[in-house]
Amino acid sequence: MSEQTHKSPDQELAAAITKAFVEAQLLDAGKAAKQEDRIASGVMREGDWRLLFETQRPLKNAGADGG
Amino acid sequence: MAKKLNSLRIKGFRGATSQVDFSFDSEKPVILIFGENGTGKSTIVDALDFVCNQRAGSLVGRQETNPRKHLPSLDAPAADLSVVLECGGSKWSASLDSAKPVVRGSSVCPDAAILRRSKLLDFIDVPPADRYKALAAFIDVSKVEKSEQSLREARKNITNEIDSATQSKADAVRNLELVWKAEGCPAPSAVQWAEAKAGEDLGTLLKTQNEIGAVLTAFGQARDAEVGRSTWEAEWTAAEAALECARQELNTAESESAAAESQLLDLLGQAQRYLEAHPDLALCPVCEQPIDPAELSTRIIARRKMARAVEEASVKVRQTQKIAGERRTALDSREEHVIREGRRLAELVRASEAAVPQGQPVIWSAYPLLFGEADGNLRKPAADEVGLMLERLGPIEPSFEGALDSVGNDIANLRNIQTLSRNLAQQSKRLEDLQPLRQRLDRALQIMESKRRGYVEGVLDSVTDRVEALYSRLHPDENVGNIKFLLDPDKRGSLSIRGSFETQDDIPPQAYYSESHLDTLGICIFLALAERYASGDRIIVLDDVLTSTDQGHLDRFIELIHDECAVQRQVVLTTHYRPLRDRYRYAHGPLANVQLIELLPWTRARGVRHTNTKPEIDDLRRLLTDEPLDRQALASKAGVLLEATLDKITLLYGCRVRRKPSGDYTLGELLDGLESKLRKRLQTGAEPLQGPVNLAEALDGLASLTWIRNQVGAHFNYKGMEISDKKIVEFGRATLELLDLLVCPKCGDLPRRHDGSAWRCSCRTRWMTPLAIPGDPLSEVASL
Repeated sequence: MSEQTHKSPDQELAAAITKAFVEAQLLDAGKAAKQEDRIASGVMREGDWRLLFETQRPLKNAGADGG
Repeated sequence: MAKKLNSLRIKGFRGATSQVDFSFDSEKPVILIFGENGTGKSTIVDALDFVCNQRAGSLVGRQETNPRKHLPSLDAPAADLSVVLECGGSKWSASLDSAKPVVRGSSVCPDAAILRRSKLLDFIDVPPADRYKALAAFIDVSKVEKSEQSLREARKNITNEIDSATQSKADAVRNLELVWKAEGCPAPSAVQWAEAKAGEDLGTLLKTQNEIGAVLTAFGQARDAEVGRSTWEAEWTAAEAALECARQELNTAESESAAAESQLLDLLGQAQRYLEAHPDLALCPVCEQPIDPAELSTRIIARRKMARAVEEASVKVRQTQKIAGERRTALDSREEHVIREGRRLAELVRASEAAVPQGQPVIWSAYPLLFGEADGNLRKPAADEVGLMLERLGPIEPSFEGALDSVGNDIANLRNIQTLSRNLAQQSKRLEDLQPLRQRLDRALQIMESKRRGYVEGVLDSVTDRVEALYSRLHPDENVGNIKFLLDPDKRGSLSIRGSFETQDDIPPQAYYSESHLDTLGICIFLALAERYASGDRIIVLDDVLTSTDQGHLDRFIELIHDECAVQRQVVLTTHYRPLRDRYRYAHGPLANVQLIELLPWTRARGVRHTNTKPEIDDLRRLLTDEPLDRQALASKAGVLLEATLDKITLLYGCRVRRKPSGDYTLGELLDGLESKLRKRLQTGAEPLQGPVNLAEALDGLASLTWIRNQVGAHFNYKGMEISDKKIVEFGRATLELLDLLVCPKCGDLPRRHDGSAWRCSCRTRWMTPLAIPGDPLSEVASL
């Protein structure tokens, strides 16, 4: 029997996504936990994304594979 | 291990027209609820769905159903509906509020993963999109998908904004190029030219425009003033003429009344009033001479009339003199106004010499009085000079009008260029801001899509491995399996399923597998998914998912449930399939690990009813102690139990029995099948409870008693009646002794699993040797 998980699929996926955002330097590591919760709970709106990425530092290494 | 169910109370819900209570044994990982069709299995499962998942159970998705109306029992008000679940010592109570379940409890109620027979093929025999939906209920990333969708919208809107800014920028450049070309392409590019041009001072042009405008205004005002002056002058001249005329009239009147004196006129006035007061007077009151009062009065009136003409002429002279004076004053004022406007015009024209056409110089010295010291005597000539100046300046006035138009055009052009340049700069700045943002959004969206797909694929991979493991336990060596789920890369939410069959790989199972193989595949997929996302206290419910199947598959299904599913969480099985229940009753499954509940026939008045199912071995034990002795029941029960046990043993060893088309063997045939070389060596034990015991003696003893089953337990005959109770009890006890030697005291199962060098029960406590008939190969069962 596989190990029982206590995270929901949304939470698991949101964690992987925010980790990739940080690795791709789209997101500061300090903000990752808060954004992870917001992505997992589905409350991110269009304006939130815009605000999040407007205020982030310039995109570096845009060609790197964060996927 | 997750919390275990303690009890379930259902009232006024679906088939539970009366309150029904189920007490569960929390030591048992599996609860098997057996009932014929229509006894209330679905009511129990719906009640678990209602309280654990806040769902309307099997009504969900059914056409023309209404939870508010159809969840309550027939004719029962919704307010009476109640489901109370106790699990792990905590209690939750569910009722119906409007059409929604409302659950009250001190903590979060455990959820229940429920697989119904009707949904068994939702993972398999449906279009790929529906299959994805069925699996997505377990791999639920809908909230992240919602966030992803809003990210997609943000990116789309930013792209639209970039397109709009790009279009606006292109429009600004195109319009600038038009202006630039109209200006004769004065710089290397329109943009460069416009940047330089937009920096020019609009204020200078506006000042020039104001100055020229002021000149033209002054022209108009001076001209208006001059036109007014001639009118006033004409009126003054007329007033002077009237005065002269009045003066002449006065002179004439005065000459005609030279002698007249005003004192005399007063005296004459008094005399006239005296005569009027004394009309009969005959003597003069002064000289006392006779007088004619009428004649005297007539003469007095004539003298007074002459004096009044002088007075009236004098008044007229004063009046015309006043008018002439006023008009003179007005004319003076007007002349001063003309001079003021003339000087103002002259000053403005002189200040705007640039607008004066060359070759038309203005000779300002020609107007000495206009610019000289103010002198009342020279007012009129000075005003006349204004008229002269206006006449001479007239030809250059259009050049000021032309200059005004020109500077107006320059201003409009400059404003247009400035607006276009500003717009160009704004759109360029906007694009500078938006393009990096879109890059980030693109990247983020790419990551989200990739991660979501990777996540779902990862889950499917892990589920696939689990499905394969479970499926191969159910169908070992059957050349089916290798199940894979494949996400369609070109479509969102589309999932294909592939497997192998005999020599064919990568085939759709639904095209080749039998119905029962598809059913078990659906069960395995469900169990794998339920495990993958099992919350801490999730209960697994399989609602009547197993239909007719052979013994081997049935045994493996039971093993799967106990070994794979019921280890960490409780499993509730409902079934109408009697062989499944009887496998436990005859100790062909780990009876000690299952709670058997049997549903009784449903009636509207009594609703759902149940009883605990007893194992056959317990029935045998009871029949041996019952008084009076039920001879037929004891002989029959012992015979059937012995048959069931011997059937299992002969199958495990692949014993030779007389073949029959029907495959049903009698007790004697089964005993004969246990050949002596096996019988002599058969041993059993239960570590550490019981040491090795040879079974030969017990089996030999039973062989001499099996006839009792036919004589007493199966048929009506006189021979049977002659058999003593003692003999029947002997048969029953011998059977019970054999069963006690073979059935595990811990798990209640027979040693029927090939485990190393012995057969063992589910918990591996009870063992039986040898593994095969001495000198023979392993049986087919042992080889699996």
